[in-house]
Amino acid sequence: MDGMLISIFVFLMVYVAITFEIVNKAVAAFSGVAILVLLKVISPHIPSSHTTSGGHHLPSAIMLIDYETIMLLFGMMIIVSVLKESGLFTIVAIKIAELTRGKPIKILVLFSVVTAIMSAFLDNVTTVLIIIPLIIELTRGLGLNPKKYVLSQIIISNIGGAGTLIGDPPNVIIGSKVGLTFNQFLFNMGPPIIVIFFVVLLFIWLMDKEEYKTIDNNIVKLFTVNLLLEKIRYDFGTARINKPLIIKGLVFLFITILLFITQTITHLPPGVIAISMGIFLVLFTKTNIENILEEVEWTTLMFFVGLFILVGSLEHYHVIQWIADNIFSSLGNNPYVNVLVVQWVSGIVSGFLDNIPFTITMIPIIEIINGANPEFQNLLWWALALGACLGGNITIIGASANIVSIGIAKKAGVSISFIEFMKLGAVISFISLLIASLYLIIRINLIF
Amino acid sequence: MNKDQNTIDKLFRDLIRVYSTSATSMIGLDSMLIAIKELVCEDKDLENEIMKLSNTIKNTQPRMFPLDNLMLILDKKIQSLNNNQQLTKQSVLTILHSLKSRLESDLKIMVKSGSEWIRDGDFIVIHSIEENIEHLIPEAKKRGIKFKILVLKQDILTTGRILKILDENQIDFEVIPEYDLIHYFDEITKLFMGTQALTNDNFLVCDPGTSNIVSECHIHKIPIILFLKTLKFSHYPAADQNIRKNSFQDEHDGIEYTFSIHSNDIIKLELINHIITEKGEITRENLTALREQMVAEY
Repeated sequence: MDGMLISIFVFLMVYVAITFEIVNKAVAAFSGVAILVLLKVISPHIPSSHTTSGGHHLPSAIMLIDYETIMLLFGMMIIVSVLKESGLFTIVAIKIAELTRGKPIKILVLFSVVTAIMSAFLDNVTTVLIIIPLIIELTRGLGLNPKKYVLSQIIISNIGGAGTLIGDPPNVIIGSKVGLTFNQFLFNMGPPIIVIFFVVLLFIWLMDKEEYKTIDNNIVKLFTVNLLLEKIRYDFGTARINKPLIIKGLVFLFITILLFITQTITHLPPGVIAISMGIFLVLFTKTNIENILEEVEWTTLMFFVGLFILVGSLEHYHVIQWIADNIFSSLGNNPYVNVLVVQWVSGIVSGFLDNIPFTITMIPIIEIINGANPEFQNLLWWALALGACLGGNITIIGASANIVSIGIAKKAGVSISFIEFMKLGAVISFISLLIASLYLIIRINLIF
Repeated sequence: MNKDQNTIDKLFRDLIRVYSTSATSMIGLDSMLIAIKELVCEDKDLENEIMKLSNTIKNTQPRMFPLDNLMLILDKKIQSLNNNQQLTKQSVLTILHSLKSRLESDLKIMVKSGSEWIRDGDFIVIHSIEENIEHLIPEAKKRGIKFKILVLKQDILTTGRILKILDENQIDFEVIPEYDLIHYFDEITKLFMGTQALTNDNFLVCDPGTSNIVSECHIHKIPIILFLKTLKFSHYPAADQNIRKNSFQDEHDGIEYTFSIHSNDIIKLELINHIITEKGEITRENLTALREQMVAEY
């Protein structure tokens, strides 16, 4: 069978398996790779001597992997693992809980700020793993409805993650594959994300003003708050706190971010920065590497590797070129149409399908459109990043952080249905995407 | 039962798994202080509000001593201030501070006299978190006494907290499951225990599991030493201590059954060999007089 058709068929099968969670994502992607290798559509070796019967070179699976993205993700996972082991996140979360003094509006605002910042500089899943159990304990103990707070933090985590190169996997992929710097992400994605954050927070508050009203005339409730804070201090504070490790971890995180910011001077790729800083952190802190490696999300990394190979195969067999020529070429060269279509399609698709394979698939397509329209500059990349990250809030399956948070909440007795999530998530996604569109329109007007 | 009462009951039950009842009472007083400072209400409603909180605290399952008795003292003082039209937030805060000081000083005195019950070569059995573990045993260690502790393992939270205290104070210890105690009766010299309350019909309200250990030690003639602050003298009988029975449906191998567990054990006072209070060792005979003197204050 033709390599092109096999690549398309295998890719679609893998996509269906991922979307409907038929098997683990990494297993699905690697099964697809195995089929392509077994059917001699791609080669497991470095090219040169391996050819098809027609005498053409087979694409090498190894060469199709984007190592830059893998290094960036792996490096950041090491840094996050060390910081997690130090107990830093637990301290931050408890301090925030104390600062709220049980006031609903403060719980919403302070936790949202922390969630957004943590999601911007760490990964969203780590953020929700720390924040969600604490916010459930705090709000339930106060007799508030934990569901509303859990939902707000999931949504904010996806918004915060969109603000930086390292905040959300679609950004990591776009940044690494396209060669966009940390600063480019910060300055182009940061402003709309800050606006979206405040608008969404205001919207959440307006939707349930009564829920966030301060209770200061009920002495029993005020008493409960303080007992509860003590319990939280004990429950969450029993995690081992390693102060020297916190300091060293923070210093390395600061240096890493500094190196990301000064990328244009040092010319160091983000992947190299992250992996070097991660390994130096382990070296200087003498942290047990076995423990750290246990914390690394190997399945996520494997999933990325598998997808790069699958999409690379589609690219090699000109499937991507065909999509760009036959679907996106009909958009013409109107920047408004191109940018907004990319943003909204990315947003809606990311709400229902995994945004990682979608982003990986879209990158070569956008490279082709950009090649034909260099005057678009990087607008299409920002449209893709904004759409893929913000669209993740539409449904429960839109982002990994959503699935993880819903799981944690369910374990703690707070069930959130697909529809309940979508009722709030879809409206907020629509508002976020609308603000993102306005921002992109302003940017287009400044260029053209 | 209302939702707030349920929440406070559960919080207290969770806290006494990891803190002594005195430490939990101190947390309760601190929480009251903050709550009163933050409360927005007119002076004329203050008495009502405080009584609402005091009644909630006095109705917890189980009853929280010494906080329960401290609330009775507070009620009396509030009533008197109100009668004299002197009830203000500030005056309530002053009372609460004085109750805190009293709790602290009682504890200090008991720790001082109690630590004399630890001698060189002792191998002491402990079970649950109480003042003896939080303060008395570390105090004896500071005084250079050489002894060892046998920790009877409970759930990870309680035992974890005990181990943390022992480790922080560099106290020699060994951990065994409760049912393994039978193998240690040739070595152990004392059982140290605390209690949440001493009822007016002479029963001790203790952590679950304590009753078995006390009975076993009693049979094997191991001296049982109880550390008890007089503020834990309850004016209720054992049947009225609000001990909570939790029942839930469980299943094993297709067999469905109701699983029940009580929040506390009840132990006869007569099984105890020595009762140590902040007023020194007291005998069962002079206990009644002391109780009457204490209860008169409430």
